[in-house]
Amino acid sequence: MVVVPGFDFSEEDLIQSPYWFLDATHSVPPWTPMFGWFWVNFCRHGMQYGAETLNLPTSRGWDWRFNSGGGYLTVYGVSDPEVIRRRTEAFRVSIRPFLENYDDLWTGFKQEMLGRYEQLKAVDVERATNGELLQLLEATVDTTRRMWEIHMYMMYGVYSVYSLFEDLCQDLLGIDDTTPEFHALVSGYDNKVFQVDRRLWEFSRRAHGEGLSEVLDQADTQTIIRRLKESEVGRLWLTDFNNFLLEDGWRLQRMAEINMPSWVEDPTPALQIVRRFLSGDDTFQLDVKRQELIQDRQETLNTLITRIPPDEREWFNLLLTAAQHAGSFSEEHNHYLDLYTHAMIRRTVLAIGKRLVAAGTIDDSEDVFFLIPEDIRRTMWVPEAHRLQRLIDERRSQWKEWQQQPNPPLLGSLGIDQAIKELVVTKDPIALKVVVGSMPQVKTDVQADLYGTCGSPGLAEGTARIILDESQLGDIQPGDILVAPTTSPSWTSVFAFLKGVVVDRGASLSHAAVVGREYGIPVVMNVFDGTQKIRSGQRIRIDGTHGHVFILPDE
Amino acid sequence: MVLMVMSLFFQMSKRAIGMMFTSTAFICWFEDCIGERSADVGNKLSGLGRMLNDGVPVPPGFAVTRQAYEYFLENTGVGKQIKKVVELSTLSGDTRTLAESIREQILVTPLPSEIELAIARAYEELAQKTGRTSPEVAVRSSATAEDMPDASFAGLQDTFLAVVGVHQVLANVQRCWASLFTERAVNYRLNMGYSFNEVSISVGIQLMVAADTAGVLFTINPTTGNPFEMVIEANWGLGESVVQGLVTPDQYLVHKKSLDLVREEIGTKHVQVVQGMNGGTTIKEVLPDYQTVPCLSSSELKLLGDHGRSLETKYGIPLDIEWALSELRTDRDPCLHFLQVRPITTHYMGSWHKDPQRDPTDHIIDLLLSKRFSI
Repeated sequence: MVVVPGFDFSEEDLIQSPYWFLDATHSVPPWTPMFGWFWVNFCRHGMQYGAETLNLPTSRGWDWRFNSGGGYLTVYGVSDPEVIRRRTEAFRVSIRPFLENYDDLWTGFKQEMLGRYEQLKAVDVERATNGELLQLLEATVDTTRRMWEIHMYMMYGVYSVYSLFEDLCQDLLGIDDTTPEFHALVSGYDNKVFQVDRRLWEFSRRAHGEGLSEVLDQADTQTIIRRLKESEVGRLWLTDFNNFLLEDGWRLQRMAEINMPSWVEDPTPALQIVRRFLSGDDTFQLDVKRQELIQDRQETLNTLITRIPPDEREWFNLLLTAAQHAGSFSEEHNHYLDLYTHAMIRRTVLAIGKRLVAAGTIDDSEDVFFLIPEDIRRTMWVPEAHRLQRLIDERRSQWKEWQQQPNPPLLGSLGIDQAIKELVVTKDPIALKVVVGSMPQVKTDVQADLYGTCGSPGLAEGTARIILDESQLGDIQPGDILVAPTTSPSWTSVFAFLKGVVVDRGASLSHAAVVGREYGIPVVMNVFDGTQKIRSGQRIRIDGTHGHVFILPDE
Repeated sequence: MVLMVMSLFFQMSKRAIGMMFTSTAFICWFEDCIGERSADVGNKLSGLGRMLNDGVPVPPGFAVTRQAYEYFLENTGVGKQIKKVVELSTLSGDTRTLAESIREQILVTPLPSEIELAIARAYEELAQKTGRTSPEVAVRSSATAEDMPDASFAGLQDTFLAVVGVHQVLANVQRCWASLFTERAVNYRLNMGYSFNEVSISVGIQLMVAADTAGVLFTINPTTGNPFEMVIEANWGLGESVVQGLVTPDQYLVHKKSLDLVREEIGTKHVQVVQGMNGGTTIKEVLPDYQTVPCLSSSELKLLGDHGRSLETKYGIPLDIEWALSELRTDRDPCLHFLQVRPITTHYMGSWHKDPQRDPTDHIIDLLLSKRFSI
C-alpha cells in the first residue's frame, strides 16, 4: 500500500544504494503516514539541498525511504575526482559564514522561520474556507520544505566545524568527549530552550509572590485553570501565561511525530514544570550553574591555550568559537526548526481533520494523521463527496502492525560493517557524527550491564526511572536517574531534579547530552536498550565519562 | 654544508672582537641568573634562577657565563684555530673531522688565568655556603641562542655528575664547551638552520643531590599532549637512569586539577645510577625487593604534582622538570629538589600548523578539507 508516494521502500531502491539504515533516533516507534510523508519528502530534500548549497566535496546528501513506519537513509558520495575538485573550490567560499559570521547567519534564519510561523498562525483555522485551509496546507508544506533546507544547511556547516575541533582536540591535546575537560570547553552557554525554562521559573516566582502557589499545586489542569479564573491576579497570570504559550509553546511531546498535543493545545506539561519550580528555591538553578560552568570553561581554556603556540592562537580561537556554537545550535534548532514546524503541521492538519469530520469524510479529526497531503488535495474542495474512512482504517491497522514488529536496523544486501564502510567513504559530516561516531564499545573487563558513550561526564548512583514520553515526566522523584529512549527540549526542566540520565539513542550533541552538561550531571548516551533492560525503581550506577551503566543488586 | 659553517663562524668572530670582558662577568650565581643576565646563561640556567627566586627548592650553584666561553675563544687563539680548521675542512666536506678537531682544540688549550681564578673562587664560595670542603657538583651545559627563546638544545650538550674538586670542575667546564661541537650538535644546528654566531654556551655548576629517588615530571601528558594530566617518571637513585632510559621507570599519570592518581604503571627497575666512590657515577643493581615496588608514595606524588602545576602556571608553558628526593628524606621533610626545568618544545602543531602568511579562516578551511574530507 502506498504511504509516501515515490518514497516507499522497494527492492529497486537497492540498485540505487545497497544499504539503507533505519533512523532509530526519530522513527522508533514507527511514524504515522502523515508525519512520515512530511519527513521523508522534506528532510530528504533538505539534506540534499544542504549538501549542494555547501558544496560538500565528497557527499551529495542523504536519500530517504519509508518502510513500515521507519525512516531509512542512505548517503550519496562523490567519486569523480574532477567533480570533487570543483566542489572543493566552491566549498571554500560557502563554508566561510560558519567561521566568520555565524551569529548573523543563524539569527537571519531564525527570523525568517519566525516570520513564516506568524503567517501560518495568522490564519484563523476555525473560520477559514476549505480553499483557504488547502492554501494553509500548501503554505505549511512550503514552510516545512524551507525549514529542512535551513536545518540541514546549518547542520552540515556546524557539524563539519565541530568535528574538526574534535579532531584537533584528540590529535594535539589528547582530549575527546570522554574527557571532562572537553565538555568544559563547550558548556556554559545559554540558549532558547533554557530561556523558555527560565520563563516558566519566573511564572512560578510570580505565582508564589501573588499567593497563587496553592492554586497551581494541583495535578489537574482544568482545576488549575478554573481556580485561576476565580481571582483578578489569577486571571492576569493566566492571560500572561497563555500569551507566553502562544509565543513559545509550539513544541510537541515527541520530537519527530505530530500525533501528540502541543503546549498550546494542552498546557499540562508547562503547568507541571511551573508546579515543580514552586517547590524549589528563590534562584534559578541554571543561572548559578552557568556561572560555575563559565568559570570552569575559562580555567580549562587557560590551561589548554598553553599548548597552542602564540602564533597559532588566532585561528585556534576562531575554530573554538565556531565549535562552541554547536551545542546551543543543537538545542535552538530543535526549538525554532523541528518542534515549531511540526507543531504548525499538527495545527494545520488537525484543522483540516475537523473540517473533514464535519463533512463526514472521516470519523475523527485525529484520523487525519493516517492521510497524506495528496489525499487532502484531492478531496478538500468538495469533502462531502468523499469518504476516506476505509483508507484510514487500513492504514491505521497497518500502523498498529508496525508497532508490533520492530523495523530491521539495515535494509539491503550488505552486512552492517560493510554498510558503515560505504557510509564512511562519503565523509558526510552528519552521517559520521550521528550514524558512525557514536557506537558504544563493549569492555569485558568493566562488566557493565550497558555500554554507551559519554554525553556528559561524571558518576552517579540512584533510582532508575523509565520515562517513555512526556506525559510520564510527573513520575520523576528528585534524585532519580532518568532512563529514556531519547529526550527532547520540553523535558529540559526536569534535569534540575535528576542525578543522571541514560538514553537509548543519541550522541554528544543530542539534547540529553547538551542539557546534562549544563546541569553538570552525568549522561550516558546510545546504550540502545536501556529502557528494556532497566526497570523503574532499580538502583543503578552510571559512569558518564566512560559510558557505563551498572544495575545494582537489590538491597 | 662546510662552506656554510665557515661563513657563519666568520660572522661570530667579527662580533666577538668588539666585546669587553670583566672577570665578574664570567660568573653568575643561580639566583642572579634572571632578567638581563638570562641571555648570558641560557634557558636552562635562567630557568633555575627563576625557580630560586620563586622560592622553589633548587640546589645552589653558579653559572660560568657565555662571556667566559667567548673570552676563552678570543684570548687563547682557539677562535682563530677553529677558523682555520673550518677552512681546511671545506676541502674534504667532512663534518665529523671538523667537529673532532674543534673539540680537541678546546680541550687541550689551557684556560686563561682570569677564568680559572673566577671559577675557583666561586667553587670555594659554594663550599663555604654549603659547609663542605670539596662539594660534589653537577656540571651542566646550557646552550644560549639569541632571539630563540624556544630553541630546544635538549640533550645536545653534556652533563657531568658528581664532579669533585676545583681541577675536575675546570676540566669539565672545558668538556662542556667542547660538547657544543659534537658531530651530532653541529649537524643538528645546521639542520635547524641556527647560525654559529647565534649559538654560544654557558656552564652550570650545581651542588649534587644524593638522590634516593629521582626522575622527570612532565606538566602535560607528553604522549597524548593532554594538558590536564601530568606524567611523573621515577626510579631509585639519580635521575640519570630515567633520563637516559636505562630502565623502565615507574610511570604515574596524575590529574592536574585534582592531583588524583589516574593510572600507575610500576616499572621493573633492575638498575639505578648512584654516585661513585671517587666522584662520577656508576650503575648499580637494585635490590630484588625494590625492583617492582613503587618508588613514590601518594603524598610524594601529590607534592611533586603540586610543585609542577604551580611552576607551569608561573611560566605559562608546559614544562619538563627534573627532580630528586634526597637520601635525607623523612616523612615530614621529603627533601624535594628541582634540578632542571625546561619548556616542552614538542608542542608542535604537525599538520595543523598554519603558515604565517595564510589567513586564519582559510587555514581552518584547508584543515576542514584535509582532515574532514581527506582532500
